[in-house]
Amino acid sequence: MSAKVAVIGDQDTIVGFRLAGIKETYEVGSAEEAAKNLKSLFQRKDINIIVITERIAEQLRKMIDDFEAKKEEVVPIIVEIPDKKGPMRREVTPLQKLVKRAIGIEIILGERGREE
Amino acid sequence: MAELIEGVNPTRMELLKLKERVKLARKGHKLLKEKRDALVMELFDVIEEARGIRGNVERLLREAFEHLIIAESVMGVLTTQEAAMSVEESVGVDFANKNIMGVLVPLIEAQREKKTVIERGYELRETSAKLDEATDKFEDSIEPILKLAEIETSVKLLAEEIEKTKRRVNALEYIVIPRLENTTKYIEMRLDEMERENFFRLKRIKSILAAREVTEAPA
Repeated sequence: MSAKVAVIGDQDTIVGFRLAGIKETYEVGSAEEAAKNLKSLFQRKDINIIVITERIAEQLRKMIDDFEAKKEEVVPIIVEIPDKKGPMRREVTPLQKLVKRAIGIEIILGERGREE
Repeated sequence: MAELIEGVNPTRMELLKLKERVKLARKGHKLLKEKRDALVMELFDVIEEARGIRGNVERLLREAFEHLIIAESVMGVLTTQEAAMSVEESVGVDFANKNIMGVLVPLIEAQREKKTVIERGYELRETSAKLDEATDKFEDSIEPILKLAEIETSVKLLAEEIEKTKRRVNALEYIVIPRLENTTKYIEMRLDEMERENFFRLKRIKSILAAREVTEAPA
């Protein structure tokens, strides 16, 4: 089964992914707008991957966490990507927190040679 | 800490049953521990794979945005948006599952026809070559983004499974097994005690009977 990818982001992100051939794009200006769009995307069965910019995801962290905890299937998968201002510097990503809780050591995903 | 199981009768039957349960619990504990260790190994493998993918996505997107911003400044934001609107939908994903120690992790495959510049659908006469480059970069970044989705989901699922397994291992190790062992011990001691009581009772009766015989014999 082939499924679709959706993008939620600021104007430039949307333009970029539209150029690359993704039609399900939602340009959002505010956190409320993003929340509304995200909620409707959660209902859609044909969308399996939701790409969202980190800055917007950070504002909706609670909603995303709740959804991730509740969903029974693997999909839709939410992927966070940097926007045009570049990647956000965060102390710990949600994923790192999870890994740390699971195996008790901290692992830095991403750059090489920085793990502890 | 390790208490007894409530309401067990100190009988031999009960003791045999408990011994079976201890054996089973130990076996389960061993298996779960092995599962946990194997999962941790798998997690490390996936993390090893993930290393660099996020960095790669970040780098690709940075380049893509640079090109896009230049394209916007050359052609104007409106023309760029217009061009973006006229691109046909061409990205889909295929899902498959991979089984890692009973954890189903997704395998995501991007379905994407590689299009030439002409096939993209926007008007070439009105757009700058910078737009083509930006589009190239964004197209290139889609696959790594999907890969990122796959890997991060795998890490998440594995980590959750490890946590669950860890909790079970600990529950068996620190609660279930000690409790079963304590109860077996209690029953064993109780049975021994009953045996001693019985032994003493027999001795006592024997001596009473012997005494009675002595007093009754002369008569």
